[in-house]
Amino acid sequence: MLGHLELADVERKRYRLPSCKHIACLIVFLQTLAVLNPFRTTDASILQDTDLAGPLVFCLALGAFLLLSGKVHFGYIYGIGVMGCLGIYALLSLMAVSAVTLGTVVSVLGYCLLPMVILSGINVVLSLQGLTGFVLTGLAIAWCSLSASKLFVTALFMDHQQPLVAYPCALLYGVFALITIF
Amino acid sequence: MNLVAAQKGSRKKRVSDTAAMSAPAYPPPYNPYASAVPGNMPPNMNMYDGRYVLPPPYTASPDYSRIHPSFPPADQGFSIPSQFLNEPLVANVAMQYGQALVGSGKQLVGQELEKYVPFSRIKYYFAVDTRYVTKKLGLLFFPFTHSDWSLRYEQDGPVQPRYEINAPDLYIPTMAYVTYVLVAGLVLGMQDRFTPEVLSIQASTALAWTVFEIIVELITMYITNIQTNLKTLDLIAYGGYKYVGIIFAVLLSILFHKTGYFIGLIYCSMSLIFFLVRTLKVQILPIGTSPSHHDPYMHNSGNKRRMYLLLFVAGIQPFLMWWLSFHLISPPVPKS
Repeated sequence: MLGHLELADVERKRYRLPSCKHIACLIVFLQTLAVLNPFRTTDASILQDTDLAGPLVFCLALGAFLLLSGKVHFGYIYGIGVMGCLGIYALLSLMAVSAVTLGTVVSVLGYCLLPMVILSGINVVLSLQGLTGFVLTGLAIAWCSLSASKLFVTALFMDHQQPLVAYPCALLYGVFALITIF
Repeated sequence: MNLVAAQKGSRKKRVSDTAAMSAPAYPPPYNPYASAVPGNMPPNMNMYDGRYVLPPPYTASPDYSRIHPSFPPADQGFSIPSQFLNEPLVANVAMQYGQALVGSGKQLVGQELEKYVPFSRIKYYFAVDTRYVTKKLGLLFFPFTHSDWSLRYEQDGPVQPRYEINAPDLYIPTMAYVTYVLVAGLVLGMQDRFTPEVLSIQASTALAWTVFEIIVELITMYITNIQTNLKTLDLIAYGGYKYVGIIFAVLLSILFHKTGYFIGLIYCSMSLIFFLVRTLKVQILPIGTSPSHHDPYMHNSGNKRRMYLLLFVAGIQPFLMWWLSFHLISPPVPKS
């Protein structure tokens, strides 16, 4: 479990780097859960390293759950994801004083897609078209956009603009919810 | 790493080891400038024994030893430049040069782009905060009690929308436009008239009508020779405020069908006309009797033309609002 150790030399053990992919995945998952807690105060250092593997995993998981519900929407997820990321990147680069990179935007939006993945997982077993489904969808969208906007606002040092950032994120996640439900 | 080399019987000399990069030590055992035919090896290559030895994967030296083999095989005679670049000195210089090039390239692209799309001007219109947006939305729906419509100016331009409630912004129009497209899709979906093409049709139609409206206003201002402080982006902003009214009317139509739609449309039209007249009066019509201290561009001429322009800009809003939304309302359910 500790990476590629080809020879058991003492000298080699001195220089080995623990490249454990399983522990790294667990750490990423725990960080995601911690970050997505909307009641937690965050600091700007969490976005120092932009990680694109997590968002990719979440998009694939969303597509897999939709597949289980009988909908093949990978193209829609990709298209809406790309357009949404570009749009939010453009908006944030116009609104924020500090520099915005596309990697940061994709990383934050992808990580905050997790409640949508959970919603699509629920959609596999329950139908979301009733009143409870409506409420659950609203909660999921609110959770997604609140955590995304909180991450953006802390990372980009924007003041008094969190609802303004949350609204376009809510629109984007609303479109994802639409393709999940209908 | 020297310990490893010693333990391996010195059969391998890592060329990229910076400690070993003294001039006499470097060239002979690793001669990239000779042809890499095995028969041509210089006789003093006692450091090698012709075998291709894999270096250990984890070393403390820079990782160039992993990239190049310790003995160039015969078919790599043409890879001289890559081996040259594998020296850390050259690689560092190359990397710094590359980074400097990228930085200046980005700057150049930014400058060229700025000529066509003025990003710094557009940034002004997005300098908003939550308080401004909520107050502005309230003003769009109920402008009748607001008393002070004047704009404050700084040295070179108007004050940012964050600090001045009467300044136009582009955040609300942009968000209202996107929301309008999504609400149109939602409403059509509720009437079973939804296909994904409909969204793009709505978006492009609304965009085309907005562009058309702006062009007509600009041409009117040019032909009638009215000099104002209004810029194109201001006109785009004022033209985009109608989407807020459209959204409100369409949402009402979900609950109350045609009646609700028309009531919402009429109310939003009236408040938008009032809002635009009061806002643009400050910017188009000359200010009363005081000579224009802070406004050298407004001449006291063509008052009637300015009045007509004002009424035109404010008056086409209801028609456009109706044109962009009447096809979205559902017919009322017939009473059986």
